[in-house]
Amino acid sequence: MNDSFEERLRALKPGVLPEPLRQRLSAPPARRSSASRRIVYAAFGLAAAACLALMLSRPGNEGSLPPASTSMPSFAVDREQRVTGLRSLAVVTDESNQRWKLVEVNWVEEQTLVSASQPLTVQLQNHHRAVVPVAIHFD
Amino acid sequence: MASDPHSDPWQLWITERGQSFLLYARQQTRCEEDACDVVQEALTESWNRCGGKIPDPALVFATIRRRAIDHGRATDSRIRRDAGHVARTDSWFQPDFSAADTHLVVSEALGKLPDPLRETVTLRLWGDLSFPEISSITGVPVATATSRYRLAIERLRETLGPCFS
Repeated sequence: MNDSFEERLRALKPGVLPEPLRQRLSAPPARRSSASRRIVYAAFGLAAAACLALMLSRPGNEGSLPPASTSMPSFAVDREQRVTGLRSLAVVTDESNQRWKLVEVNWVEEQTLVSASQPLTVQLQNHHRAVVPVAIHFD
Repeated sequence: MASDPHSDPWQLWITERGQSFLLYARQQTRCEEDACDVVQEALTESWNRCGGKIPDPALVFATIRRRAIDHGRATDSRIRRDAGHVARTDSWFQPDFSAADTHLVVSEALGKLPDPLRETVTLRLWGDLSFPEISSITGVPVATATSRYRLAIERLRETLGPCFS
């Protein structure tokens, strides 16, 4: 049973939607089409390519392990990259009328070191974010 | 496409429920931008899951909760979230223009509640959800959701009693 105190609280109206959000919600969301799914797949591919380019463009010494020696512990090293999020930002049209979707891609690089002699695992995560243009093709 | 907000079911629904969705998202995220993003993403996801129909509010609240956690993880803000961090509270309610600035006082009191109590009382009072729905969203038994609500109300009554009397 609600008392007057609860009713007074309930009578407070939550803050209004900011105008930018109201604009974004001015129409029902579009149903996801097969074309948009293809864009997502393409974005995943581009994100992977971006990660690879990033890795290759890094200076050789950065992040590398010290040279092995007889006094150093032995580790197995595993590196993995995976996409953690995609968000559509905008659609633009270039001079040749090609439409491009700008997609924000978030990905994480994980480096895992597993000791060969002890039950020890160390994991380092680097989070990255980039905006990737994805060409939109209509059938 | 321009639409008449008085006849479009989507617009009517956003007008009726959008503010409570945003209030909940504001409490679940670390900043206004995250809250707006989470609301839009949750509405889109819920809409698609319902086959392009107006989704059940409980589904939207549950999706907001999950997406806010994902946002927190993605931006490494989880630690702050777990430590009780919530976004600024001054936009949680519409100004009531009372001499006591009730909306600000209530926002501050809500902001000081522990997360589970604040979440429960928000979903109940301004989300208009039943205790079974709140239980499903927060992952606790119905009895726990009910007792959290009662405890939250008692704490707010202690804090706000003089203001409301």
